[in-house]
Amino acid sequence: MTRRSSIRHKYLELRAYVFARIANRMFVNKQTGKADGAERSNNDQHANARRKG
Amino acid sequence: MASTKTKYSVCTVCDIGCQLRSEAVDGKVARVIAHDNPALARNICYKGTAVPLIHNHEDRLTKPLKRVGERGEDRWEEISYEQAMDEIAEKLGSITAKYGPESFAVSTSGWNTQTTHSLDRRFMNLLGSPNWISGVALCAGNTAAVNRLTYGWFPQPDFGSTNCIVLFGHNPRKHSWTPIYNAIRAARARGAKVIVLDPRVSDQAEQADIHLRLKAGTDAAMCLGWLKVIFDEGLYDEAFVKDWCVGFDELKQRVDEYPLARVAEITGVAEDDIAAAARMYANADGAVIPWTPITDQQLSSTSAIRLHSILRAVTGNLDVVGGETLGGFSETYIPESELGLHERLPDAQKEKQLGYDDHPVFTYRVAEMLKEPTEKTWGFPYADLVMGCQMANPTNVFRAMATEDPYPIKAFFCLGNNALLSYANQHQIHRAMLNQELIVSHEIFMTPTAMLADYVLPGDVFTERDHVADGWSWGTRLSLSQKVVDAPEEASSTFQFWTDLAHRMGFGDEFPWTSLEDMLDYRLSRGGRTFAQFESATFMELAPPKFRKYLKKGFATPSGKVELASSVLADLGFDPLPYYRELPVQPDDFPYLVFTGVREDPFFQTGQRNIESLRRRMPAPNLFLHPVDAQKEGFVDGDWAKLSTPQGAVLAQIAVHDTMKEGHIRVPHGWWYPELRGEVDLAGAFISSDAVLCSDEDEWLDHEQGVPHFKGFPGKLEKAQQPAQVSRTRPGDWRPDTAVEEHAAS
Repeated sequence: MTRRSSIRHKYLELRAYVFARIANRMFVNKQTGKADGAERSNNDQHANARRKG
Repeated sequence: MASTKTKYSVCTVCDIGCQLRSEAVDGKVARVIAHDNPALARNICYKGTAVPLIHNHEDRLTKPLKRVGERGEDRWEEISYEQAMDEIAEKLGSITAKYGPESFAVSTSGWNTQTTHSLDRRFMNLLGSPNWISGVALCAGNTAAVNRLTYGWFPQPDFGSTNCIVLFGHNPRKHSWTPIYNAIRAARARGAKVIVLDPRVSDQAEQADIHLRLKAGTDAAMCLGWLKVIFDEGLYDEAFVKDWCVGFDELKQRVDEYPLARVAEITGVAEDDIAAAARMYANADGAVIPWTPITDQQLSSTSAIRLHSILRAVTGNLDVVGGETLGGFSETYIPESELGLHERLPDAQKEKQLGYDDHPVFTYRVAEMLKEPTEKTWGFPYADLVMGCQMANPTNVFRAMATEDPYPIKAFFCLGNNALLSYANQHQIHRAMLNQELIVSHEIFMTPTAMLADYVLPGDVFTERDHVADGWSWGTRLSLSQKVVDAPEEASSTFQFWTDLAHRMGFGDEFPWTSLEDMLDYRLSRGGRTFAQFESATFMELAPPKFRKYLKKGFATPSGKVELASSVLADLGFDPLPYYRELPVQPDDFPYLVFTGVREDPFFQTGQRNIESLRRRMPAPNLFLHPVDAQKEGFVDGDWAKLSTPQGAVLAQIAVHDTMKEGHIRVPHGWWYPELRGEVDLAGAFISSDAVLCSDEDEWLDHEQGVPHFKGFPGKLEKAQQPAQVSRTRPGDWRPDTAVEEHAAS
């Protein structure tokens, strides 16, 4: 048992874990749609040039 | 009607990576605004809001350039990207065929370019060159490598739960290291204590619970003093030390060599104050010593960084809530460590890495020694933490470039890196670059380094590309950065540069990704997702923290424990225990202690001096001086001075501050004058750059890493005239950018 493994610390560790899990559900991207992805993939001019040889 | 798009971004103006939003109107970046998540909304500074000025700047490079004059003459012809890449590949092939693959060196800042995905290391490893260097050798990357000696990883501070924060010279402010500033502010608001160790009364020091004004460059001695108090008073975590540390008895013996009276004499801080700070740190229920660039750049840097590690461990603050946690590799994003293909570089080539023999701590030599424990604990043998754990030593590389000893370096590529001003001994770097057969620069603006190149390729910027940032492979958070506008037609990402070069040089099969999105799909495949799925779902993902992971697999060190006495250092023939190394004797005619490498709010490293709204905030380089010293030298605020060290001299303006410690001079980092391009050689790169002042002679190098001492070397001041060409030295000399400033004010 080290100084930092008391029940209080176990509670704080659990809280940090749960916070991250909940936060990840709330970090929703409101700025994008699938259309942007399609638009983007045509803009890589050097990759296109290389693919064409 | 104007078309407006808003996307999430991870800013790369500096290296902190604030998450914010970029807004484009009709295909041009119009504004950069705060994030819409309240937890991130404060993480924006005035460099960030100036992004439209930077990304749309009229001087931005948009066409590949080929040198037509003498090297450094700054005369160019425009050529196509394809022609440039063909010629670069052909010349690099010839040079490496003639001198060997190790004759090729690269200097880069992966963060400025962001999109490299370690393809530079991959390319070099396949070609056979170990000589990759970066500014992270002086800042955070070297810290990561040294931390691994003690417990096998580079921990992250848990600001959210900590009760004590110790800042060794680090001074996060509202407009520099903004998220760290906000995290400290939040911690302080809920009652956390702050201890600052800084010769100056810095912004953080003004609000600290304890401020120790130690003499510059004496961090290692201070930490030994703290340990003396902690051991003598039994303030350490005995159970953790007994179960998980090796070398305690030897360490205690070493610490006993540093009684507080000796530490007080070295550091200039009273014994009682040292003891009070040590007690506050050790008794806190969760304490952190966040990374600091100050400890990275000292004569005893390896010992000082190790002492931070040791303090974390013996006080029970390692891998616990409120302390500093060991993250490990991401479980959902393929790390750069794997993409770099370090296992493909033959041992014989690794042994040729410059620095391998004399200053090995962040070279392949130590990386190979830690390979097995790293794989056992973390699942992969190489750990590119902050890119810094298998680098060549910059000083050795520039010496070899200049002198061809121990072998020639003849091709030098700089990507997102103004190398000439970024390391110690600028004159040697200049000689080194003049002795090259091929220099390629990949940049967004013309810099003094780019002016010395044969080819300059225009780079892209963060608003023009997609990215998933993983905090330099150090953090456990994934952050989304989205493309919001197109890059200039002939600009390339560093991903594209290395991929196209690899295809031209016969490594195409190892570079199968056809676009950045393809690369991001590959990296995210570890979590079973594509980039499109990731970006449509989230702007940030936190890996739920796990604590005390060592209970299952131990630490990634040869002993599997925290090595208070380092077996790696012992095997290399160095002192396995930390120590304080005295500075060389200060000559009488150089009475001041000069500390360099200081970051100013308006700029990041050598950048942004051409951005008028930022330059107005700091029109000329300022040397900070205490009023007593100013009076003694006959200076008043605004005078120009010549600051000399045994290495070199610079010109700068005096700024008198009573927050300075007497006998110390603070020098800002990275000054040159873009407005002097065409009037003065290399746009005034030798007028005010702090890299001119710093020595890379052995007596000024840390033994184990070979980092130069930037924090407290001898200097003297003389009166000087303002340089004739440098005329825009007041805020009014620079045009305000009202649009950005109005937005910032709002």
